[in-house]
Amino acid sequence: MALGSKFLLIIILSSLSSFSYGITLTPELLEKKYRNITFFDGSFEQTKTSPIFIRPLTSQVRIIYQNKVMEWFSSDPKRADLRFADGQILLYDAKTKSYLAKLPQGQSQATPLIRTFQALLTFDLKKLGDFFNIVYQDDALTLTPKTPMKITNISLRFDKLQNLTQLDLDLESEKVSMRVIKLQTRS
Amino acid sequence: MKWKILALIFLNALLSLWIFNRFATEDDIIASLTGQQGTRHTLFQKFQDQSVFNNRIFIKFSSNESPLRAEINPLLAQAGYEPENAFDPQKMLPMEGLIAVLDPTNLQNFLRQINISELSDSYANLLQLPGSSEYAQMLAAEPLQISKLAFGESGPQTQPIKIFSRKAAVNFDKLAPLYDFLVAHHKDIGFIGADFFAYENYKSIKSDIQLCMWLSIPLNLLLFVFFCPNWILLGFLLVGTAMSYIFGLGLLGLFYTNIFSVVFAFTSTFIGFNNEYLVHFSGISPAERRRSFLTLGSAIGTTLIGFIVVLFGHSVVLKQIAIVSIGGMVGFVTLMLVFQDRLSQISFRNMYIPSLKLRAPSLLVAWSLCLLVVFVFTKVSFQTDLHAFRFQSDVLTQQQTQFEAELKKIGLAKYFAVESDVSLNQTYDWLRSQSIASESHPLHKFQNQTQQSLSIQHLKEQYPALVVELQNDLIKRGINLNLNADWVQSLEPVSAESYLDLAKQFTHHAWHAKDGEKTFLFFAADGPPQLEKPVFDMNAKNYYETALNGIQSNLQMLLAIGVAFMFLYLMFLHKRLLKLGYIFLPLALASATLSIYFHHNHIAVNFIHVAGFILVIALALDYSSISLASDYNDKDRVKVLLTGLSAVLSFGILGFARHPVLHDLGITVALGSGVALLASLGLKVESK
Repeated sequence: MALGSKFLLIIILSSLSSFSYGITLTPELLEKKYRNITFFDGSFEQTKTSPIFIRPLTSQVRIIYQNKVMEWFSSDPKRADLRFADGQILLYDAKTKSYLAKLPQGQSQATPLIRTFQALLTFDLKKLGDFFNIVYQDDALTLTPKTPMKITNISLRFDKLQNLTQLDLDLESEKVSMRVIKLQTRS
Repeated sequence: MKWKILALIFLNALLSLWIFNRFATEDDIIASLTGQQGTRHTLFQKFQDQSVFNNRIFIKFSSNESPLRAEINPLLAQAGYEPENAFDPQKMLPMEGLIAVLDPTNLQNFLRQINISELSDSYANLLQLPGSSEYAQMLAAEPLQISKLAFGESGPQTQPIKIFSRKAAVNFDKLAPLYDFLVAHHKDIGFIGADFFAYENYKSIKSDIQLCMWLSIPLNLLLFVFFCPNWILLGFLLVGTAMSYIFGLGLLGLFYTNIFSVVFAFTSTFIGFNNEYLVHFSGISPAERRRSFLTLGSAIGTTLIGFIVVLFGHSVVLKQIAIVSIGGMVGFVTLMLVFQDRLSQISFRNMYIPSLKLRAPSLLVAWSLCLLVVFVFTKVSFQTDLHAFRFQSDVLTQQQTQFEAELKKIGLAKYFAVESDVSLNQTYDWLRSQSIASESHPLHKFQNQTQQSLSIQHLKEQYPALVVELQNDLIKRGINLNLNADWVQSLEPVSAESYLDLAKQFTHHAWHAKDGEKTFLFFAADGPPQLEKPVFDMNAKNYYETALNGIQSNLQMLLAIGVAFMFLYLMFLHKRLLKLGYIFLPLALASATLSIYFHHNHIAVNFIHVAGFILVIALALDYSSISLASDYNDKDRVKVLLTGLSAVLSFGILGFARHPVLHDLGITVALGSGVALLASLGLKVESK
């Protein structure tokens, strides 16, 4: 290839790249990438802050969603699992091999949160739109509740290929920040 | 004439303003069976008032992953139902009640063996989960979680029954989409709730009212036009019927503000009654007025006696029907009296009606045959079943059966009450010693005062120090939860009565009640227990059926009194026993026909049939006494034919109603009055 052609190719690719990098997130882009998700497997580094924590609480988290069942595994420093099959939430304590609590559907605090989480992980923007005002800005998606609820703000950050990189969840009682380590989805 | 019309318009307008918005309607007429007297009624009322079924519905899915769950949520919200937790930390047994169920030995072992580091671990684990900070704070109200000692660990549960409750009054229009969805998916979803029964009754009565109004009014008008092609008469009928409604509801409004929908449905028969009064008031020349007194006296008097008798019954629904009917009668007759001169100018179609003349012996034979049929050949049973009293679809019946089977499995299907002349826990222990009362009873875990004192002592000695230890361990992990140990210091032993009151907050159920000075304990058992002291059945179906049968007996007695009064009244009007034999013969034939109908169709006579029969008596006696009083004059017998056909038509249409009360009433009156009409017109005796 002649030098001139190589130069031209570099110019075109770099202009495409810069065009791609500066792209603004839109519902269409997200819809295209995450339409009808039926499987989700993600590993996160989670940091929680709250007045009850003297210092931020950090843990490793893996979330798997398949067959309409969401499972949440916290592996470090301690294992604490949560399983949410529509209508039932189970908190499993691996050490005592028993359920710490069982929160049937409708548990006033947990259920809306878990349902929101499920909708977030499956990128069900239609369902989220029923309860939240959604703002698309640069590389982030911000959700604020339409009516007051325990969740006060949600923020999702994406890279230039619309891959989720960060999920921040503000609740009345705590703030949860989840940095994506690995993520796999299937429609 | 003008001032008369103006006065009537003014009076009706005033009454309409007064009754406008005065009434609230009650759709489930089972509610009319409350307000009885006696210990069982008092206990049942208290048991029901605090029942878990009040303002709640219960839904069970065939599987937890059922996609129907997501679809039903917006329908539940639209109907005003919110999910309620069987397990809710905020609604758990309060601390002061917890002490009543802790075994002191187990508590002591628990406190000695508790591993604070492990407990601290479980708090730390829990707090890793999203949204868990608030939940952890709730658990911190009783940080050592000793409630697990009393009630055990919460384990996984399959196919749980979900509870939904409403704060506002039920709105049937908003409930409709939810109920239709449940019915459409009844193979995958189980559902039960008093609101569903009320809704089915509302829906059936609503369609029945429409059916009766839209068929009864035009068909009666057609009948009228055929017999009397005079539009002024139709005008009187329509204006008079409107006045009947206003006067009827006005009179009812003096006594009741809550009206049963079934009463509104019954008012569709007004036009049938009004027909009768209008016809007998019409076409009377001034020369005939003296004789017409007998005719009108018979027509109005016997019907009035029928309704007055029902007023003394125990059933609120029947009282309301009687009051609204008497008011309706007063309204219409008022109009007739005001416009008597105008009515005298109206004439009816001339017709020849053939009849068979009876002498005393054949009258006696006919009477004997009727009595034989009623008392010997057809043995009709008298019993009111709950299903005869309210509408219930097959789907709901199936759901009810399945739900009762679920309750039976856990020993909570049947509740009873027994007097507790010692303490409540001693009464429970006595029931257990007799192998009665299920283990699901809250008193099963109740500890006596000595044991409670021992538990309190253990807690006061050890609990605060353990909590401090846990608090320090959590702080080391960076968690500063506000752990509460103060509640231990204020603990006092609680009585069984106080404990049951506290337990009620999470069982949603009353466990004891008072009737006067006596205290009663509620308990669940497989069947009616055999005990030395009286046991009161709290089963709603049994209770309501007992109440219904009580009302039926009362009504049968009133019926006998009513007939006696009508006999005396007609004896006063007609003077001779032979005439009375004729007047009552159509009624005897109607009774025999109804007996054959009930016997042949294996129908147990319920109290609605009895109430309907009171109307048959009134109508049957009208037809025959008017025929006799008019000396079998064809002009008056045409009037009887017209009014009789109108009654058969109005009640016959009611017989097509889906609601069993309206259906039973319609069939009884249509069949009885139809036979009585034929007999009154087809038979005659010497009138002199």
